[in-house]
Amino acid sequence: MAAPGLIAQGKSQEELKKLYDDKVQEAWYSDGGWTADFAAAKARAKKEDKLLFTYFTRSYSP
Amino acid sequence: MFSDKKFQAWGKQDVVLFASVMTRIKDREDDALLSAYGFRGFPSLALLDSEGEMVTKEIGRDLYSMQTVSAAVSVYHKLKPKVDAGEEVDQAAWFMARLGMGELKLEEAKKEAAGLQLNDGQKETASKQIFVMELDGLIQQLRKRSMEVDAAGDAVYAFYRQGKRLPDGASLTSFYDQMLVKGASKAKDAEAFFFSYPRVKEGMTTQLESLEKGKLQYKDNERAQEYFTRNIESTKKQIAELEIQAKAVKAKADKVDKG
Repeated sequence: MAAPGLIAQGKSQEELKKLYDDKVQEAWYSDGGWTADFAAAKARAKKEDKLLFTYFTRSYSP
Repeated sequence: MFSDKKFQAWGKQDVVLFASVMTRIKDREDDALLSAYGFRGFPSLALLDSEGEMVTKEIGRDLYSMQTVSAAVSVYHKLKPKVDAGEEVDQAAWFMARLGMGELKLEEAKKEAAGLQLNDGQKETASKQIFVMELDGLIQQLRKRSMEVDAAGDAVYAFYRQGKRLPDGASLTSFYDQMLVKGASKAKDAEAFFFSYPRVKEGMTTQLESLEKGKLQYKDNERAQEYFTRNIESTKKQIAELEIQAKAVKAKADKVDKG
């Protein structure tokens, strides 16, 4: 298995954008009420007095 | 995990779910977050406050741990500066917050819980969390080989008889079930045995199916074939042993009913 960094290096910016779009259309994300926008997440957390449950993941490689 | 309905209900209600996605898209600011928070790999979890400050990275991968830590965090951060400044705080709330944050060891937690005036809700939550710690202690002893599996089975069976049950979504459920089946089988206690038996059997059957699938998938790999064949045999053996135990416990229970 190749290292994720090497896989990403071989991809164009268009491909990376497409992979990101695919990632945020996966069911766990779209059905679960997630956001991938940090500023928007912080603003909502402030308004609703909540914490950010943060999941670090990647879209450029499986 | 994140597709689970219970997780989704909790996530929408109690926290803001933020997916920090590393994209490798040029100039995308959020791509820097993983390293900014000191993580190296995927997937990682963290609780951040609304300013983006790290609250904790110590989050279990099960819903119960996630719920417990997030509930404790805000109280903990509210009370900690006061405690550090020597101010009086609600001792029960402070205890619950430290317990939820995983700051207390088992014996400390038991001792403090016994000496405090906890309300009914706090008592229930504390006793569940302490029970999770007790089970965790058994696992540690098994890992260190300072306890035999049989003794762990006896201990979990004793917990069951004391009415101790794990909260929904706890990751130790499968350990609890496996040990209870052992302990209850030894004690010939059908009621306790069949409390956990369906989940244990389902777990073993699922494992067998996934091993058989793996064997087919890697049919050209000799080493993989050895691995899958060995594990398929041992899982089949475990299922057969479980069925023998189930029959024996049931026979004993029927005899008692008739007798």
